[in-house]
Amino acid sequence: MKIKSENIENIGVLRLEGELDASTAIDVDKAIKLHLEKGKKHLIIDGAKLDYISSAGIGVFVAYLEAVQENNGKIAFCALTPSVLSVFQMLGIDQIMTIVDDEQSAKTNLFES
Amino acid sequence: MFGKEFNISLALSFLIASLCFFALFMAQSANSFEWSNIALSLDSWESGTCLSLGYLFAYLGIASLMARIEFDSVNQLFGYLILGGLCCFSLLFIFYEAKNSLFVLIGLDQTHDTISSFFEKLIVTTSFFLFSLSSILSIKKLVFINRIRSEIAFWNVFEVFLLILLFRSSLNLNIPALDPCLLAFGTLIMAWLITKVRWVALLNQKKILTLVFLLCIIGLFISFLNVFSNAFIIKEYQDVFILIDEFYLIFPTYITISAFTYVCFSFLATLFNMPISNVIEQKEHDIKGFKELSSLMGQEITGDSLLQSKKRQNWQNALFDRLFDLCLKNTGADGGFLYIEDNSGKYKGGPFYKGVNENKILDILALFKQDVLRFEEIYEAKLKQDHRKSKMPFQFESLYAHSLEFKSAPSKVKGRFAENKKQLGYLFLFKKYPNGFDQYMLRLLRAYIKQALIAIHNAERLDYVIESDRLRNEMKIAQKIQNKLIPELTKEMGHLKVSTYYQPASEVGGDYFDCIYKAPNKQLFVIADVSGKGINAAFHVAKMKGIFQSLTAMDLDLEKILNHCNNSVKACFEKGVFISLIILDVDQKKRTLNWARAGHCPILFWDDAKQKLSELEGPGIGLGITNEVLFKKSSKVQSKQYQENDFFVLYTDGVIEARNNKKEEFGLQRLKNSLIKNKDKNVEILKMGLIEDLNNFRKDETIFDDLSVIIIKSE
Repeated sequence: MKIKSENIENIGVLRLEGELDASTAIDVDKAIKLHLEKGKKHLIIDGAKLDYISSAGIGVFVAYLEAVQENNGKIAFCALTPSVLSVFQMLGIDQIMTIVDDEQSAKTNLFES
Repeated sequence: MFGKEFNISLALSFLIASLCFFALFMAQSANSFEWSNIALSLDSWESGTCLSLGYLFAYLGIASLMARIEFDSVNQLFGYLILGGLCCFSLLFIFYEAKNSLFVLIGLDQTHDTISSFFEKLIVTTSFFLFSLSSILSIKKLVFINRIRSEIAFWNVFEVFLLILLFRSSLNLNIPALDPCLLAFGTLIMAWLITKVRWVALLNQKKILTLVFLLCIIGLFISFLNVFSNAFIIKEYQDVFILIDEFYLIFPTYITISAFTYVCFSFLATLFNMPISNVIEQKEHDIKGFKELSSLMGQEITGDSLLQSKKRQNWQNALFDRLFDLCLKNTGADGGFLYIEDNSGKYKGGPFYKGVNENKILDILALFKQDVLRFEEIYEAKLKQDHRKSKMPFQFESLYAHSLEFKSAPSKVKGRFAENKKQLGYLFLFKKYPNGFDQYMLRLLRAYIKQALIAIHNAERLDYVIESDRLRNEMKIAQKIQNKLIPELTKEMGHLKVSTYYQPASEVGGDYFDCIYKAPNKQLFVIADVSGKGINAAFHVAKMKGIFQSLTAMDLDLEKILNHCNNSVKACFEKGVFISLIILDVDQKKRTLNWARAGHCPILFWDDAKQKLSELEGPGIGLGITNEVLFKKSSKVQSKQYQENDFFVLYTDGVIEARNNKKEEFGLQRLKNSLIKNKDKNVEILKMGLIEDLNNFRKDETIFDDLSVIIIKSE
């Protein structure tokens, strides 16, 4: 699992590559924490190269959801692969987090809010 | 073995020998002070008796002295070489001197008649050949202290040469250039032979001193003999040699010269080896240190955990104590300390220090850890302060110290050993003088520390094994408990036939299913999947079961049950944990299904009339993901009628996400196909067919998520 962290204004971007499961979730957790500690309001998760996500992987985002929302922020996922997207839809994550097709729409979405 | 009697015999031998020589000396001094006249003062047979007895007892004295000294295998061989030579020559002298006395006693003419000449020849040749044989055997053993292939070949050449020489000695041949050739070759071989004194290196200083002492005694004995020989015997001996033909002497002479040269060379080698023998001894000592550390390694630590930890502590202390002692002694350090830390950096080691004030250890370490100064400087700075206070037991004028931080050996075992290079402690050694620690010592120290670390590492691995054993046992208990959480569902409930399958990915799993019998015709099925897996998820399953059982006992409708479940999960479970769930309420009388989905895989419904397998979809967010308002908004209870031969399948995502070795997922389509294939069969066959298809698909690939399936068929 590879994690690339980027900063765009008040948005923390995480580009995930590979499989996000219980063991790699710890690293993603650290990366998110780092963004929030830096005072980032929103998070964009680029899942273009994310092949698989387990329930523990989703748990990381769920855990930070409230903290981000309390800060009037949002967590947006972009460019998710079909298999990951179907997992998100099944769990109803799409109803509480923003899921868009590409990074640009994610940014637009976040800036609008 | 050599008791009092032996000491007495030793003293007696020397006493009698001295008396014999003294008698001769007195007889001589009575007439004249000229040694050369000594023979004239006595009858030849009297002097012969005295001399032969003198030789005999002097020989006995030396022999018993050699037996008295404790030899080990190496210098014993050398001792034999010298003793063999002495023995033969003494035999020659003794018999020769005793001969005249014997002749007088038995009334034979002392002149060289046939008998006496034969007798003399016999003595001389026997002595020489005995000497040759014993010398060769002893030298051979010494040369081959450690056998080397090339040397064996060379020795064989030497033996062949000796045979040729013996042959030459036995025959009076007159071949020109034979003797010079033999001489040249013999010299070459002798040159090779005298370099084979490897055994000298095996002697320690004490043994070398013993050997030198012995050789000096023998030297004295021989010079003593020479005095008398020169005085009056030599001429007679020369007569003896004249008796024997010259060619006979070639072999014994060569052997004598070889043996003598070998002994002399060995003596020189021994002398030159003296200064470095303690280096070898030191090395032996160092190796002994390794053996000691290794023997501590071998000690087994078993027993119950409490006893074990106490034993471990004692063992570790013994190991560190030994390590410190070895490092101190084998580097000749004047002082030092070994400081052992626990994981948090607190002082844990026993009192492993020498020549340092215990209270100062921490100060020294603190300065060292700051890494501001090199240790020598730190200590010197420290010393200046201490010098004023005069608190140091050692007043170092100048010093050099070396420190080695030792870390536990990196391991290939996954887990904490591999991840953490634990700092175990510090070793400091001091010497009074600068440059006290050479490279060899530093290498030795590192090697000792490494050895000790291996011991600790092994002990930790043993701990790890014991711990994982304990965990395995506890996991078994957890497994038993969890198996009770997942109920065995009744296979027949009215017109419904039920079959279930459950397979956790590890010992315990994060899947949960259950069935509540609300009335004979009303059943409430639930299937849930807790996020994560393993023991963590298993605990959440236990909690979930508690929540679910309590809520269903309150006879609430599905929506309320779900809402309460969401609130409970949100409140009781840690952040990030969520549960996907489906509740299915079956009313057999009305043949209706009511269901609500909370982020779980939809129910698969086989409509037998339409011959169609569909997913009973619906909105819904997983439990514990969102707040009450959003959850309520998204959740929806739905209904559907069912008929005879219809069946519904509840499953967890582990089924569709099961992978084969190509990393392909089993997927929803394969699941559907498998069910459709057996749609007309009973639930057991439906289930078995599905399991078989799943197993055929993934083959030997292990499952990484829990698998749960409930198949309910209306018959």
